[in-house]
Amino acid sequence: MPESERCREVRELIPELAMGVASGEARARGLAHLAGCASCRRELEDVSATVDALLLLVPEREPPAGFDAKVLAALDQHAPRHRFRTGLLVAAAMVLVATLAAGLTWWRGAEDRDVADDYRGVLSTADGSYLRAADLTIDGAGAGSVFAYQGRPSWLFMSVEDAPNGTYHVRLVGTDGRTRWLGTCTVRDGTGAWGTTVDVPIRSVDRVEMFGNRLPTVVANLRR
Amino acid sequence: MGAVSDESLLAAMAGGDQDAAAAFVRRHQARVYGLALTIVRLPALAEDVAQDTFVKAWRHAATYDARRGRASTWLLSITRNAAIDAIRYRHDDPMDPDLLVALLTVRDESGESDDLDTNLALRQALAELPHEMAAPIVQMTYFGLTAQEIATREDVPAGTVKTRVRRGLEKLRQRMGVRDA
Repeated sequence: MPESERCREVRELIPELAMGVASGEARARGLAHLAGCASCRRELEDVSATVDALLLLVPEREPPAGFDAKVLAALDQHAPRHRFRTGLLVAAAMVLVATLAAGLTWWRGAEDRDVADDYRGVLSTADGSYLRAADLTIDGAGAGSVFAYQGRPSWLFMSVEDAPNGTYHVRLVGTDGRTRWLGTCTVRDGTGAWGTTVDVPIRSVDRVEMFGNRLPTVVANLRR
Repeated sequence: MGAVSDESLLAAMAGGDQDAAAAFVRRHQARVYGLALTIVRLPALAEDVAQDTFVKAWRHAATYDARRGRASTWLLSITRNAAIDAIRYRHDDPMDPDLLVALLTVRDESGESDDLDTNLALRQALAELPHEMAAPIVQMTYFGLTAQEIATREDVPAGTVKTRVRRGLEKLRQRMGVRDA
């Protein structure tokens, strides 16, 4: 294909490339050409600048009072020292979950009351009051588990055992319909594990949802 | 803090400076929330999207490159993508494009506006653009619709939508260029 014809073809794509809506195949095709064509790169930069300028036309609106404090609290929660603490927390969660699982297996066949006592004993040791477990599912098929723990602090820990690889954005959906973005969980070789503190009561969580670009939605219903 | 540049605030944020983060959030929150609300339309969801935007900006502050654009446009592209993810996930219908064009082309007559000359030129150019060009441009820019999706909604060939968007953007650029010259 002569160069000018290829340029013409890619220039058709440039608005969608600049707006980030081109399909994966079109994007790959466009970027391969752009890597070696300065003139088309300039065109992309110009169109991108126009798109950026369009976004600046939106009227400003003050968010509800206290928004800045909420953002700063969220940043603080994600700060490096907390990341370290989150790492410890995940380790603690795994120990707690493993202890509970072992306890429940050990007590299988025993009186329910004994199982409940053991559960309460583990929670008491961990200074918590409530632990929920739910299956992560993709279109109803099992994809792993979520553990949600009510304590100080409360946390959520997920273990993905069978899901397509990629980065999933994780959010809580409250019983009131409000959503809360928690972070991202990366799945490699079909598996992944991730945990974080949560600052809402676990009982007010309806479900946990994970989704990403071109990835199936993974859901765990905590109210079931 | 008013005189500190966005770039300096971002660099300080990347280093964990809480005061810098607070100044950056307060400086940009109205713009970010305004864009999020325009796209998702539900105040509670817009607040979540705006919050998510600042968390992402903070996470990527260290990789922000001032040579590739202003901090405000970088932040708004994060907002746009987060808001589009939210409406796509919820399968919400985007706002009527004509309504959005009207919203974007209203000039602030209060006298308190710090609208840049470029913005004024662009508002006017967008207002003068034919509907069949302005509508797909705002649908792609604000709602992340592809040419094919717009074509299906409008019942026209995808190639026609692409051509209209491209010609429309050229007209907008020309007008901005004239004003800048």
